[in-house]
Amino acid sequence: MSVLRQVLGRTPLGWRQLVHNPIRFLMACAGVAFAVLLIFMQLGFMNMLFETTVMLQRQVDADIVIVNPRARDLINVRTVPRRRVIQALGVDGVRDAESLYISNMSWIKPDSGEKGSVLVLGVRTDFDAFKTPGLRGELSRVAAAGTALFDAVSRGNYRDIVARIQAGEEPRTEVAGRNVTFVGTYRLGATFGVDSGMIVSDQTFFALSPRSDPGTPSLGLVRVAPGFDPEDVARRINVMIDGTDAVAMTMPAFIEVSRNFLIKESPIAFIFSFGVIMGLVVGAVVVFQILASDVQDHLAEYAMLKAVGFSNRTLLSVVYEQATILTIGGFLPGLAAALGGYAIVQRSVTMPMTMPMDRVGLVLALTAGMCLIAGTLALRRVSRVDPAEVFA
Amino acid sequence: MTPISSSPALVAIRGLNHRYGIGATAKQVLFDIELAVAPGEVVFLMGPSGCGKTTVLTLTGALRSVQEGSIEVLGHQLLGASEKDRVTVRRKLGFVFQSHNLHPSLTALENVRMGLEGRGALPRDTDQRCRERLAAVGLSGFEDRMPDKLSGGQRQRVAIARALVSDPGLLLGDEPTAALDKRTGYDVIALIRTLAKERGMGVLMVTHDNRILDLADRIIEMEDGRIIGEMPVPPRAEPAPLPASPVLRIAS
Repeated sequence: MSVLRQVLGRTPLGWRQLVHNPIRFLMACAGVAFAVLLIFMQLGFMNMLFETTVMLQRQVDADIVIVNPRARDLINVRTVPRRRVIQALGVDGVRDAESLYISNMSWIKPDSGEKGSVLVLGVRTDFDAFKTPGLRGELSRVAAAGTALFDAVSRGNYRDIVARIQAGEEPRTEVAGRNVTFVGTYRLGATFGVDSGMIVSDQTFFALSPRSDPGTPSLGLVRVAPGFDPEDVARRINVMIDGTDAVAMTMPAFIEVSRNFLIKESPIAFIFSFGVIMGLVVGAVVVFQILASDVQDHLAEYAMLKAVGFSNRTLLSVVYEQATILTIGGFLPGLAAALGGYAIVQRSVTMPMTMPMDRVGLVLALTAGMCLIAGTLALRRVSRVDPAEVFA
Repeated sequence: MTPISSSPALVAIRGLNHRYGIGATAKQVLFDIELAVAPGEVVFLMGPSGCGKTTVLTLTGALRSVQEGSIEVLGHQLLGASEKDRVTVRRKLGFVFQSHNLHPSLTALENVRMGLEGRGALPRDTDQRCRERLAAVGLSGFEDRMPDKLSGGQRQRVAIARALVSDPGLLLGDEPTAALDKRTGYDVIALIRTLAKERGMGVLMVTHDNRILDLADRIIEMEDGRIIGEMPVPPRAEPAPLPASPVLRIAS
């Protein structure tokens, strides 16, 4: 503890008082840790929602997309006229452009035989539209009509069917009333709105969905020739197509649009922020209770310290010292618990839940703020301690 | 009083009045108190409870604002002193209380340190000084004991070491022997007396303890907020534990 003494330039009174009552100290740390866990889980879920929304976008191998101006993300993408995609091919700097067809279709779940819906992506098999492991360079496998690749990390009990596909068994199921044969798997993962997914050729897509028009794909994918700036090329495409029915933007810009829509237009950010605030309130109440009762227990000692010349400021620093200790003592176990929680959630819902460093920093700052505010409230008693009380 | 004019008193109280409460409900608790403590002098303040002796002590200790009259402590006028001034004065004083008020989560040595901390930068030899003070109250080897592992008398001696570690010019005591048995109580006050004589430190102490009266230089009696006179100091029952040093004897 001599380190603490060096840092503070005085005996670490706050620390000594806390460890003098180890049960209360552990309770306080547990309270802070619980709040930290709560906050991390809320932020984790919120981020999972944001991330899974753009997860598919991240897997598409394109520098620029041509989308409906009202497109929000790849699931709610609407359609664009195919000629806009073809027009883009004529723009300087465009190496390649192709149409991607996306639709939610009804299907019979191969595991249970129940009806459900599946996200079907259709693309020309020689375009190699995805970076996903198992898809890159593999699309030619679905060139035959009625064949599909199945997302092995779909949500549901698909272990058997995936094993059969990987064993080369080519099981079948019914999609939109027609037979589809699974010839392989890839790993992408479910989102909040989509449980399972499959990829087919554009020709199979049209066969499964007779009403969808080959002339109105969901979006156009554009690849830029080496040495060209995607921003510039997107600008030139927009000049060329000059339409109200389609707009070109870089993939990062499209991902931003999707995120911003969720943050600004949906209640998601509000709901999870509310959860974060609840966590902070719970933590602050716990810390306040602990610090206030610690102050209460030591009023006689504080009065004595004031009588021998301790200033209010020095006594306040004791409570802040305790707040800092509780921040650290609660944050670290809370972070560890959150990492465990993330792992459990990720396994249960087959959606990615990650712990970026900036979130760790944010929650640490929130925890510190929470403890400081609670400490400040607990302190009011210290300031009011009357040193003359030691004679009472 | 000639002693005051020739060598300035550590405490000089003149015409002190004090009231608790305000307006119609105000109750006057001190009336025209006159009191002085010279360097090295041990003064006891006695009287029935509620007679105002503790109020005199808290006012002298700069723990309350003086309302009327004059209190000079170690050269500081407390009438009209700000909270900041009073903190400054407090830091020059030593306090020993009825209950020892040791910090239960600190060792004996750290408790003594509290007498120096809280007043800015600590001298490099702080711990050494604290050890010396503990030795002076006969507690060498007890530095790392927690208060709950010390006897009542030992705790009170730690409290005295804490009061003395800052070399105060004046020690204020509030029934420091109340919680101690006869023998321990006597030894603790005898120790304070010895230190007072050695250092020229003044001692002003409220007490009800008849067993220690022979250790006083003067015993002032109070009743109903007034000083009613001085009691004769009984003959010393036991010899003073240590003779005062010659230099300080002259000063006192």
